[in-house]
Amino acid sequence: MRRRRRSDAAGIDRTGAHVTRITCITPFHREGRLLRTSLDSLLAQDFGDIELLLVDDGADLDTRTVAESYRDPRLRILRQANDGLSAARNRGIAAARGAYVCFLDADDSRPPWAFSAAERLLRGGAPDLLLWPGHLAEDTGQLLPFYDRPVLDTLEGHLGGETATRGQPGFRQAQALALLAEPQSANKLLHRKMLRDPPLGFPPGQFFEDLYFHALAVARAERIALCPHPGFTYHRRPGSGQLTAARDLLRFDILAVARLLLTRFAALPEADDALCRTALMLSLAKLMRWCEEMLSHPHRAQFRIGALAVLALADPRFRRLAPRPPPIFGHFDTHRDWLEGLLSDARLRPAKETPHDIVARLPRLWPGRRA
Amino acid sequence: MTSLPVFRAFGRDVALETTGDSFLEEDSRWRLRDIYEPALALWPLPATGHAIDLGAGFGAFALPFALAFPGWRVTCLEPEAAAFAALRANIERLDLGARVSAERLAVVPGARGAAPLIRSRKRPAFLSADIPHWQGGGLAEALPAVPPEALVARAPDLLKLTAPGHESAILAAFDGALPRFLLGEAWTDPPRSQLAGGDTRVHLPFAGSPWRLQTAPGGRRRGLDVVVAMYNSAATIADCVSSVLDGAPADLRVLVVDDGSTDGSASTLRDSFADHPQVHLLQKENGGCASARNWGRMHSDAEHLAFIDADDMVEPGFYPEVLEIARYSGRPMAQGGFRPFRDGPDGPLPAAPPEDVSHLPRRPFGKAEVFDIPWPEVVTGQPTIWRRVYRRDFLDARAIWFPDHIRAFDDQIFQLVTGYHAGLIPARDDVHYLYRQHAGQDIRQGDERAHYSLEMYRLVLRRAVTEGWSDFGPVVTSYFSTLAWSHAGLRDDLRGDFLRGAAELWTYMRRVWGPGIDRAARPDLLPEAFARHAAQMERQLAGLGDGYVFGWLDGPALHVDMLRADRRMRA
Repeated sequence: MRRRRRSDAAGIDRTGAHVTRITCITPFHREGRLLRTSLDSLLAQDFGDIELLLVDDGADLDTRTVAESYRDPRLRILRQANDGLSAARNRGIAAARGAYVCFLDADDSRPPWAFSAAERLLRGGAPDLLLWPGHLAEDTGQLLPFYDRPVLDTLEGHLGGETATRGQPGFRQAQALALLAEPQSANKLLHRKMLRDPPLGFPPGQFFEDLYFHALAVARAERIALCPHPGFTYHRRPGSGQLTAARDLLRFDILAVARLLLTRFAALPEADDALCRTALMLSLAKLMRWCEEMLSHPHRAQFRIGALAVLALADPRFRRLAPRPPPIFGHFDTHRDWLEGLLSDARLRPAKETPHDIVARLPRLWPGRRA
Repeated sequence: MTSLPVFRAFGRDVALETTGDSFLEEDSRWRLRDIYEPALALWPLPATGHAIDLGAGFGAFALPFALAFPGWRVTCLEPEAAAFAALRANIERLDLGARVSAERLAVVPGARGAAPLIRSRKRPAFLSADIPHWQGGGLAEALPAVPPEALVARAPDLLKLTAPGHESAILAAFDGALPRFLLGEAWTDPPRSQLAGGDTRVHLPFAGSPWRLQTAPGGRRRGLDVVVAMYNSAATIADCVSSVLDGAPADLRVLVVDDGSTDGSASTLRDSFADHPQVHLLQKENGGCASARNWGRMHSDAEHLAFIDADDMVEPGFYPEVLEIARYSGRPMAQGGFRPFRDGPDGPLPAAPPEDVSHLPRRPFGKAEVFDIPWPEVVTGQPTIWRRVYRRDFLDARAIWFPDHIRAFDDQIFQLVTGYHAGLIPARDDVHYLYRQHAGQDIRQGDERAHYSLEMYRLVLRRAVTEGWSDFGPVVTSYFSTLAWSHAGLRDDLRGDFLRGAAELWTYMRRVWGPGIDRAARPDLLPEAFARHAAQMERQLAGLGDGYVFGWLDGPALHVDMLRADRRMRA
């Protein structure tokens, strides 16, 4: 069933060729029949000008068979050896042809109105980052608004239906609220240009890649909008949170992601904004704390050393949190307590307030020095 | 009356008359225990069948075998008079005459009935019909003999092969239709592994060493797939592929992966090899050398894999010869020699002196010499993954892949991880991979891609921690020589970021392994800025102690895409 409307085909590139409006990237690995969850929901969208990029990340035969059973000209399959979710999404980004790009994991889904509701906002305010609220399908069968609905409600109130634009009043607050949102890969649409120049992608080979990508996307966005209509359902599967010895160490990846994110965020102007910084640190603390609490006990002491090392190596500004942030930040108070406990650990040496990338900034002082 | 010596095999103790030669007696015991019994313990022999014991001696194999497998008929062939007499006596005493027959017969290529055979002076067990090349000649002796074809005509289900010097000729006479079970030993000349295949189970140790010719049908296809990652290689691909095919047996295939070439490489290849049954062209969207090599592997069904670069060549028979030692040793990987060359006006010019492996002890393997390389030497050496043959099941079991997202130097991590896990690497250097050096090579571009090396060493660090590597020193040594080499070729404006990233990763390595790892480090190969960055990181981390958690830390300078983005934003 294809309901491609002529009027959607307004996107025309310089050569006069039609540009697909939205690309949705879905990596698959060992989901088996669950892959149908995402594909069926994407093909049932009431907005048809889309491209579906499936990235076969070393999938097993069952899952590959499911993927290949779909016959739709909008669907393309890329294949890589098992190189991880991040690399698979990056491969999708590199191959995407749509003006906007989004991601959906193989066993999640989108409601049929997700793209048409988004498209109205894309047409209206031309944002380069659009966020959707979402739903959560628990493994018990319970259906709920996604965890971050209160934050997004606050953001909706803040935006008042408009697109927040860099340089305009209220933009930093919009960024801070967006940073507080759950870093879900399915919850945003990005203009493809934003991913190209300079390149933005997922950190290869690491879990918790969503946080890294989400925070940098928000920090780099020029125009942020929120779609009032939920755009994805995240499915918690039975056993997906289970701890096994091998998965245990994967939680250490949050340290790498934190280190990468803080280093790169420090180079952006948002790092000078106390509210943005606080929102970033709180969503980071939330995830790190969750990881620490999920770790098996023998690994916890090392994890704490790693967390301290991340703070020790980070720009000292990240140790200063906004003293009185807006009330919505109160939802994160337990994470803030955890973070402040970490910051007051005796092993963490007090930091001098000189950014550690001062050397990189020097050439600006003596422009002629770069011979 | 003296009691007869007892031989223990196949679940029973059997008293046998011998020739009185104590060496033969002990040798028979050893072969029963170390060769025949382990194989028969494993093989699913049918209830009935016909076994031929070639070189039966006094019956040390044949008679316990006949007792253990009462549905089988056994034919014993033995030319020596004394052993034959003892064999006859043993059959009669054990009352096996109904199922076990004995014939006084040798199987020797070129044998002409009763014409005398020549017995080697140096190695008296070696007989020949008329071949004059036995060292030192020998004594002529009239022994009854038939050529291998006579053996083939008897169509045994199991062959126990003790025929010193003639193993290859006898296997070749079967012309691919071997008995279903083949047991025995090879002495001076290991039979080519292609002679054993199909549905035959083979266990044929070589000269008392742990090496053996062995097949266990039912797994992957017995063969070697040579994967060529081809990207815009129209100028070299034909030479590359034909050099691999030169002297290649039928079980070798070349899988050419066209990684989205835009220069017509694929049609060049089709022009030359369209009808060649051993050449397969696989086409995919461009994704980099690593993804192309993985693509080839994903489309391979062979037991062994090799990876050749599209601008290189091999000497005739290179891969088959390396495959021989891979198969005989059964090791995860095996290695051949290599020779770098440059294109000169009149053909290839040798470019660099070959590596020195003279300190490794050698031993003969047929006409070749082989030696074993300990893994630290592989890990600290230049990446030369293309001159090796890998067991596919080893790569799968260890989950060793080329990282798809890495667009250069992907063979470095492959060498480090395969090297460590392979342990001891059997090698020969009488055949060579020909490695072309030219200015256009990826590894000589001096751009941001050097940082892929950093990302890969970080992956190896994390892997070493989770897999509990016994020693990280060789990886550190390799790290510093790679840093020095990359830094020397790097564009000036990239050197600052490179040294900073290198120092960051080195700090993590030190924190994981402790200060003991310093002995393997060579910071003197790098500019002083490296030590300064490392010292600064150490100051920042002071008080936190060492720990494996540092294997999980990271930095943007270890990732090419992040580095590019940061540099673009800084500019």
